[in-house]
Amino acid sequence: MHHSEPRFSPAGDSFIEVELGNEMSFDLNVKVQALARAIREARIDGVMELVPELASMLVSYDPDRISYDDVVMEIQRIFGQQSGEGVLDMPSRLFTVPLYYFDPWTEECVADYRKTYPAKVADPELLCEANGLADRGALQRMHSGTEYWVAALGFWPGLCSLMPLDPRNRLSAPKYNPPRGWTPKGTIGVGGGLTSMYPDRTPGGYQIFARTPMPIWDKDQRLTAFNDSLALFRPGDRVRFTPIGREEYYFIEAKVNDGTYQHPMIDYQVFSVARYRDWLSDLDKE
Amino acid sequence: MLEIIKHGLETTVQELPGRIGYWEQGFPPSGPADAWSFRLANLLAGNPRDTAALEWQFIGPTLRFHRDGVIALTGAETAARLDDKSVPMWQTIPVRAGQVLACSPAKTGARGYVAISGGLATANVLGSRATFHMAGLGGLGAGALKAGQQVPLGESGATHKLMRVVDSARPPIAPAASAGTIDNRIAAMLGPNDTWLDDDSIMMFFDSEWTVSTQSNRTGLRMSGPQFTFSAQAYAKPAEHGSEPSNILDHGYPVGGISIAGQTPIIFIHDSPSAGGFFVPFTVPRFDLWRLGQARPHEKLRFRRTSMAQANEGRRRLDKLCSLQSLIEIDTVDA
Amino acid sequence: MPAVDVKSPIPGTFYRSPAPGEPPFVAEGERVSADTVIGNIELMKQFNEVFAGVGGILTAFMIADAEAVDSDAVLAIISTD
Repeated sequence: MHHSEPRFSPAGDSFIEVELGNEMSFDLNVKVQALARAIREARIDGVMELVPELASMLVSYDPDRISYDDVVMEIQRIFGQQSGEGVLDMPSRLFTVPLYYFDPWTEECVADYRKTYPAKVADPELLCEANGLADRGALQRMHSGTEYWVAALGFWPGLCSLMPLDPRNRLSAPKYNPPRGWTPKGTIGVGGGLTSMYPDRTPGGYQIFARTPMPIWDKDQRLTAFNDSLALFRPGDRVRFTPIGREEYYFIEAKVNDGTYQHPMIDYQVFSVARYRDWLSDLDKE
Repeated sequence: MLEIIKHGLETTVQELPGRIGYWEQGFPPSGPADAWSFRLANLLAGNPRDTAALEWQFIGPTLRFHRDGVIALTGAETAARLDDKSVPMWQTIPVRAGQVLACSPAKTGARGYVAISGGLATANVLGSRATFHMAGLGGLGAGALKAGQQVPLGESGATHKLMRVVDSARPPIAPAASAGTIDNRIAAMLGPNDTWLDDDSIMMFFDSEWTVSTQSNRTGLRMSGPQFTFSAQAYAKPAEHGSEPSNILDHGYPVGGISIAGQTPIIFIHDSPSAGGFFVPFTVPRFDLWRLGQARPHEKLRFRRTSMAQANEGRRRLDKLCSLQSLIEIDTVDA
Repeated sequence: MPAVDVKSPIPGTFYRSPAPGEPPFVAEGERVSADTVIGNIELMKQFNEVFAGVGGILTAFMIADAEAVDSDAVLAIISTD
């Protein structure tokens, strides 16, 4: 559901949660991103940072420069000024991410967890079961058969939450309970309705089944893709996963290690939200 | 230059206001967990109050100075010795090149601060010297400092005033025994997701004791206590929020936010993740964040329901306390 | 032979074995040297080794496995040579 107006809640004396709806959808996320962009452009004195997320954003402000009520008023004004039609198109970078499906490292990680929790169904099989897929081949085709929308970053430097743009390729899965203590760096997982990429060896709860040799954050900024930013993705980017095998994985890893790897990225496209919505409604009619 | 002889448990360079502008990408603000003690340490050392200084946790470091100057120790109580002599906390201490400072483990509190004249001059990462240890940001390139490392210092003046902090301006990091006469409750405001708890649970939160877990660290303070019951809103939500009442669509996590993960309260402090999928019924306002930074495992915490007006007043009062008006001069000395 | 208390410098949870299900580092009555690891204390999600600190016979543990400790708690008693 989309709220007709943003809903505001104080989060202490220097943060505000701004909620635009309570569903996980492309349309709502685009609204959040558009509002975040407009707030940034307005450069409200005293507003420090924004953390835009799936259906809401966290605003941090300096309460000694601007009051809670004034931040709310400013954001309401900005929201009201936005075009009624909403976002029609936006520049959107497209990344092609090489992905080694059913790699040995995520298998090892899952096997490690199952030593302590033997009742856990192995992740690829759990995903197949939960989504009516016959086997791993079907899972790979389903997962790699759509572009993904970078809906949000956060939780860990570089980590991104991806929404499938083709609704026919949606996968859903429960999260680990309790979470895993570790996940190999570069692992791809599905949790709820989102795909996530683990930028580092961190704890995690998504169902994991693939690994990419492509780094998505680099504090030392060794590779070209990190020239302007330590984290690779921005909200509004798109991702396409390309299945690779072990040999290609090692080839790319070597180029990452010697500093020559170039992230496959296209920066000249504009994503037409209007045409995407038309395409979705055509799909609906089929 | 400051030489780390022993690094204690986890000792980092911290600075205020912390790392601003990259939280969306997953880089938390970091900075000192007890900004009150941190700022007083800097003022005692003759620095602007937000200057980069050391934060140590539970076990203090052993340091050798390679330049004359002054230092100050604040925060968690430590029995510190400069060479063979015991030195007081909350006071400017002159040091000479070659002297060694050894800090004992914390007797009360959790985090201590060592400020040095001129401040620490480590490299800025994304605009700040504040350390985010888990991702290796800050310090000398790998997060927390290690024995053997040499930390560069900033420029310092030639003259240093000897000062001490008046008792009434110190944060009350009191041992549990003497807590009877002081209100040690931590301020907590309702929001952002207080409507996900039923009224009984909100009352229960403020009426109960919460025990700090040993697993608490700068990425989160975990507590244990009674069970929560949820309102209709926590159940009547779209399926994509998650199957448990405490699950919410991923949202931003404020510093000071008190989340409920299943039935476990986890309070976000300075290195916490920027976002996640648990709801946040209460948030500790800025002026009381230092209490979270000084909370010890096994300690029993209580919370006090606080309004925005009280939070604003508390923050302004604390801001005045973190100034030169809290210091008394003892004498002046040439370096 | 004088008895020495081995104290914990930090609060935390005391473990007598390196991992659940594994045998303890040291048994009561065993001889230890100053750098023998006699247990782990979990704090801030890290495990911190506890050393005997002196040579002798570890006569008794005063804290059970997985028990909470505060700083200065006596963990074990060593009868020195």
